[in-house]
Amino acid sequence: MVLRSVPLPGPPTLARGLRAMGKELEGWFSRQNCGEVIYAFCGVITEAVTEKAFTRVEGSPVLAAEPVALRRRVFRAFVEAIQNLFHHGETPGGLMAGEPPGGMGAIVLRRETRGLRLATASYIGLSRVPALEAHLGEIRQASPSDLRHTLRNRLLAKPPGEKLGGQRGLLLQASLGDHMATSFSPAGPSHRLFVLELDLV
Amino acid sequence: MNMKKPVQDMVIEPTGKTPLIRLDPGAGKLEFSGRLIPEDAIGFFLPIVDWIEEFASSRPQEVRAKVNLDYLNTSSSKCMLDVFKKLERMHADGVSVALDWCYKEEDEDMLEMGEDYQSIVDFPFKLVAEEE
Repeated sequence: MVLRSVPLPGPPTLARGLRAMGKELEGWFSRQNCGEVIYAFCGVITEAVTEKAFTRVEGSPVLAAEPVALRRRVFRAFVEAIQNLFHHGETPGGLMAGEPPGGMGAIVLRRETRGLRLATASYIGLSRVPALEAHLGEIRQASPSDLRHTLRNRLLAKPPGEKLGGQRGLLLQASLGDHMATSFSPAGPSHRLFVLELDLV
Repeated sequence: MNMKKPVQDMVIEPTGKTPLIRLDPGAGKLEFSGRLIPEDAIGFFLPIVDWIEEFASSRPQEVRAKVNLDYLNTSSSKCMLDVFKKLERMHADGVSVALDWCYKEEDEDMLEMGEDYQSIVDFPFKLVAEEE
């Protein structure tokens, strides 16, 4: 297990606010980080963190016992999930000066009785919640072929040199998983804790 | 007299997140091999896109591209399409362009991704199944 505690930057008053926020994430993480864990991390996700994570997941003896097709799907979903946290996980109060770029979040990949479960949690500002909820609603309504069609259209819609945005990552995860569940729970006055669970069997 | 410098070979060594890239202007060969999952896909592709533009302006007769990727993240999928669109432009300008999209024969995701690209671009784009 890799565990990095939530950083507490800034002056004491701000730090207290962040500590309360961090407890939501850490609480979720401690509840998830149990059983047959393949990979678990909580904290600021940087490029160095993702690099180590990919090595660890690929080298996992638990995954090595699974069929190749499932291993590939799990790795793809894992890449999108952790990179979504890197790009879009909000760090309430911001990163500390000199800290490498990254996003705060928690991720757990573990084996369960019926298959593998990939779960992530991250902070999201209240203003971003409605748009994300609407997008998730569209994903839930979509059939696998609808998801693929939407993925293709998103690819075509952006002009050269522009980013696709995190929503395509979510679409891809939904298309790879057998079941996706999401929730938003309170995390201080200005944020929610966004949790995504993906079953891969 | 203004002599244009010849386009140089470009080789980018593979890392845990990026593929081996070989761009050989003399042979007209472009090769991407490995995994393509960088966080900063646009930054990674900048020198490649610059190289292809320079190569295109050198008026090559043909381009043979081979893309053999294990994994491709969503941000890179857009950058890859930008590269394909540049090849498409060259094809429209009269250059003989052909691309092989190689995938492991049981890897449906990479096959589907190749099919999507194939349906988007307008130049010879072949899907090539390879054994595990």
